[in-house]
Amino acid sequence: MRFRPKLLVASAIGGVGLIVLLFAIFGGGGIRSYLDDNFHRQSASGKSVVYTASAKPKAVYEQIRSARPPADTQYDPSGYFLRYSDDIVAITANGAGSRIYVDDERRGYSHWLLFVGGVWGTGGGSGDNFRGGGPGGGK
Amino acid sequence: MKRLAVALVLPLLLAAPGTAAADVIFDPADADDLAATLAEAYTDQGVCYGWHVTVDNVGSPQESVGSNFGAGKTVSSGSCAKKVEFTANITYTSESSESEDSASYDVSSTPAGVGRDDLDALDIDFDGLTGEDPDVAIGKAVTALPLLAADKGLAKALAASPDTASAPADAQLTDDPGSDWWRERGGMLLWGVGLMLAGGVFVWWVLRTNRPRRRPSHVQPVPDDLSSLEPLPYEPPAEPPVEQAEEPPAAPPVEPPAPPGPPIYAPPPPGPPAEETEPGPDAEPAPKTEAAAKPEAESASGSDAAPAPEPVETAAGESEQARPAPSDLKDKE
Repeated sequence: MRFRPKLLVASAIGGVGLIVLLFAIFGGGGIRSYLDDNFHRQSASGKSVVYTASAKPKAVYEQIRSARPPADTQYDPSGYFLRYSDDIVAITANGAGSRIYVDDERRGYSHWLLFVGGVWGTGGGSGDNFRGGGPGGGK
Repeated sequence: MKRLAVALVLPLLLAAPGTAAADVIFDPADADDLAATLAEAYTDQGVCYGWHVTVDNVGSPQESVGSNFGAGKTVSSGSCAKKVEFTANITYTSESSESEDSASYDVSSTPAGVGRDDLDALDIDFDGLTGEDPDVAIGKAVTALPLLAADKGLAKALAASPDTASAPADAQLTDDPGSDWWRERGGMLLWGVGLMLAGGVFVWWVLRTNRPRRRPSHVQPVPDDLSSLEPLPYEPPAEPPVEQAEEPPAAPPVEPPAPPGPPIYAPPPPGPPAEETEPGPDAEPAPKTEAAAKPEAESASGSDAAPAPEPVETAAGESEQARPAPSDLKDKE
């Protein structure tokens, strides 16, 4: 390969890296902006917002999780609960579709204490916070 | 009447979770809580749920079993038209063994519908099955079974609703979820920086290994009549022209013009431009006298911009011009 094509390839690699870097810094948004952009807002009260979706809860959960990865997820027979740095998102069934709740972390923890209490904090809950143990000895 | 009472009470007794037996995966309280959660789902959905985990603990077989009928009871303890069960096999090897710990898991349902792929779509960390806390992954998987059954249409979906009552005073978040920004874009950021670094290193390498080199500007003087030239041995220049140019103009080395003789070919010096090495069109064919050559040499050596023409070259050119052609000599004879 000659001088100029090599230089062009190197510049293209660096250019792609720059585009990816700029997109990482300035592109996208938080979980709230993603929900605003992709789901129908049903109601809002302060920082608590409720959205609706026509898809089933599992499909909505997979969509949100792949777009905005949560720090942790808890499951209950009645819904999915996603933990973000400042927010808590709950996805439940709503007829044939879904209902999506987003609250700030303090209010969300209070709302969903029955399902995530004892897992993400103190204050009881249903007791799905498995304490660990078992045979152990993994290597 | 008595039969009717038994028929009504028996399913409820079967559905009620029992007390936890010794469990290799869960603490007894956790196993009871998990069985209670499945019992609630069974009541609402009419589907039996359970788990069955076998553990080979360095050759010692153990198991963890539970269902909506209770911890320690399999999902087959009752008669269920629909059932979904999580199964797993975990093998722990000894510290001295070269084999690694291993685990496998699956989901079976009757009727068919819920499978392992559905569970994998939830992105539960099943690598933890061979870790220190396998109960976390198993507990999440078992709790999610009613969600999967509802998604596949085996049962109706259950809907949680937020608790609007004020939380107890001791309800405080204590976990550390980390940064959403870094979790979401950290990988992309690292890729961008890596690609930019790779491109920069590539550019540096290309410039280092493919730097264009200056070609030497050797331009041979082209005589007018090529047929008159004969191949001559190479004769290096008498003195480098650069040294001649640096000498003071008062004492330039001037050589007398070469007497007429065979043409002498000498390559031009590498420095001076091609025009200066070629004999000019106004060159006198006759040999110059010393008086005539001196001012010319002085003016040439006194110029700073262009080095003086090589004396040998000049002499050769002049001698070539002054020398009569062989045909002329023949005519004279």
